Amino acid sequence: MQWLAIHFFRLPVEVLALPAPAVAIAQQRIVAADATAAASGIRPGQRLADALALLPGLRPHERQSERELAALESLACWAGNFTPTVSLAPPDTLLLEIGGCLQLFGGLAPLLAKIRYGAGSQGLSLRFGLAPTPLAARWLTHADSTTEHWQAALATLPVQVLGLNDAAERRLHALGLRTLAQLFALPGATVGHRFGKALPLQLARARGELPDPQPPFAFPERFVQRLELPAKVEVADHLLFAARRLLMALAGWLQARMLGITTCTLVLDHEDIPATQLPLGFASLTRDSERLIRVAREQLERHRLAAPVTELHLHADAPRAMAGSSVALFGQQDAGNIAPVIERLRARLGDAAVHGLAVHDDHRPECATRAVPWPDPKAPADATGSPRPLWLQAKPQALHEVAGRPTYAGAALNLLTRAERLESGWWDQDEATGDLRRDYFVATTAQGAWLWIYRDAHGWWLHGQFA
Amino acid sequence: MSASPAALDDLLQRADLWRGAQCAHHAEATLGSGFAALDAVLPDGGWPCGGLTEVLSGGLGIGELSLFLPALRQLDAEAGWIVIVAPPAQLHAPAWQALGLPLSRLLVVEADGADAAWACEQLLGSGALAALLVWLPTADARALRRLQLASSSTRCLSLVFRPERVASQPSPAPLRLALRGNDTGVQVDILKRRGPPLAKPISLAIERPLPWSRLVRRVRPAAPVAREPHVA
Repeated sequence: MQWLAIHFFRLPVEVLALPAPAVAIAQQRIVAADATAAASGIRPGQRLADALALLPGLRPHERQSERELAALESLACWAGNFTPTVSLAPPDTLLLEIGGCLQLFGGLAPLLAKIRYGAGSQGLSLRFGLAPTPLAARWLTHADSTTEHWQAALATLPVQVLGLNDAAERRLHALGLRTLAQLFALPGATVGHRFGKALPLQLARARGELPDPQPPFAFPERFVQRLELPAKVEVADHLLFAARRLLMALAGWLQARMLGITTCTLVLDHEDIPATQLPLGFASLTRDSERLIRVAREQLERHRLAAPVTELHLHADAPRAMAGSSVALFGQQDAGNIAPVIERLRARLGDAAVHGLAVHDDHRPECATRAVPWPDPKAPADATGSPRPLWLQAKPQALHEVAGRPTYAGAALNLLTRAERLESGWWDQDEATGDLRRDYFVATTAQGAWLWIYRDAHGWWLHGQFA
Repeated sequence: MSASPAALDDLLQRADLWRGAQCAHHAEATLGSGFAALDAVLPDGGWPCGGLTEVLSGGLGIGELSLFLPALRQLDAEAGWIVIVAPPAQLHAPAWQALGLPLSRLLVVEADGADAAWACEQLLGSGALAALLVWLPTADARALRRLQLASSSTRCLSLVFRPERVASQPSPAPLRLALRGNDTGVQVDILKRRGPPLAKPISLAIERPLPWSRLVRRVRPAAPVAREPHVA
């Protein structure tokens, strides 16, 4: 077992996503300060008045515990990207069992870099702690320690990591106990006698002498998450930052539940008017957060907001089981990775603009081709008897008839075949194509172009080209 | 002094050195065109995979696609997708299938103007393409240069179809062809290649829906289609 504790030590302020410098406060005392405020010497526990004296431009905001918890659950979903065994340690820490997934990510350093990058792109600061026991990992976040020699690192931690009450801390101080090493050196019974029975148990759990089972985070059955925006957003572009948090959580949730989606819906809530639904479509089943974000970006860049947005929701529509992928051997390239590009094209050009082709069994040329969203991988390959052109004109082009022969661009056409009669279609007479009665010919022009022309009751028409 | 001729010989062996009288030889992949006469005049002996090939044609139907059919048929499933961007008319699926092009790996992107060039750049960037066929009648030199850059780092047969009238405009494509139809096939003039100019256009008997001999015989048009309505 290898537990990685991730301590989001600025979560109370970062969850509010306020412009810097900002602090979260409770009862007129600082709970958390963002990086800018911290650089000016503002520390948790300070009085707000002191903090304002240090930094007059500071934006204080009342702490919102329920939002922190929602954010932590959303982050637990995101952590599903890395490992299926995640536990919450409220108010601001996640515990990840990473012993089983180090191989997948190529070692500890790449995994930590990935987590750090993911959190950074969501605007979150974090500290790591790594130890074979969950409690030690949590305490080690105090020193941001991921060293192998966890026991040595644990021993040097100050006693404040225990989170005891003020009276107990004063007593520790009076006894000259500053670090955990000094506490570990005392007999457990003495410690229990002076500081309550819980403390020696805790110390034993941290050192792995007692079992410390963690309740696993249950990834929800359905993914529906909301994110309240700190201020009304009037430009769709600016929503991406907030949407990114939701999408990264969605990707982790899908990973942990072994699912993939082809569509999800981003709902933008407005103050007065009904919410806007923004469907995000994907060319193939996916749970790749980069792909989710790319499509959301394309959609948001092109979207014009009807009204300022106050809240975002994200629903995963109809997730389906999706197998994991194997890592390529010898750095093989996957030639089938066209799907992300197709999504980007569809997001910009419209869904109908990118399509595959399928043959439809109909003798009328207009009806023989069907546009399909994605080509059928098992499309049959068979040959038809009569010559058919590669290009078909969407609207047949009228040809003048001179002395009983059709002309094209002023010159008579040379007909090469006898008439091929294509007739009927009465069954969908009311539709666009309907009933037809035509004689088709292959014709050439003096310039060497091969055309497919037909004659019906109204005259001669150019219908296609043999490119 | 004796070392210098040897050094010169070494220099002449270099792949990136091209003498005006010869065709340049690059280590890039090529795709046999299926026509011996054409392979003989193309640098590296085939269509280049990577880098634009600009095809100027007088109009639709002179065999602008049939010329590339043998090459496109060679692309196997592992090579990747065949993508057609901004086609000049609708694609008639039965004909594409009958000519041996796999519909299962064919995608069509409908876009125009700047969007088409943008789409091509994105597609080339994916590295998942075996062939790109794009119609860019109004693209400017800048757009083409971007495409050439995007294409040169891939192994994709990149064909840009443009009208004949742009032949006089400069182009960043390393290979430019002008196509003209005639009575016996298609006449290919290589306007630009990495090699000396071609003395005269070559004529190729490309695949057509009917044997070329049929051109000699004329068929009289049949009587007009009867007007009476169909009784179901």
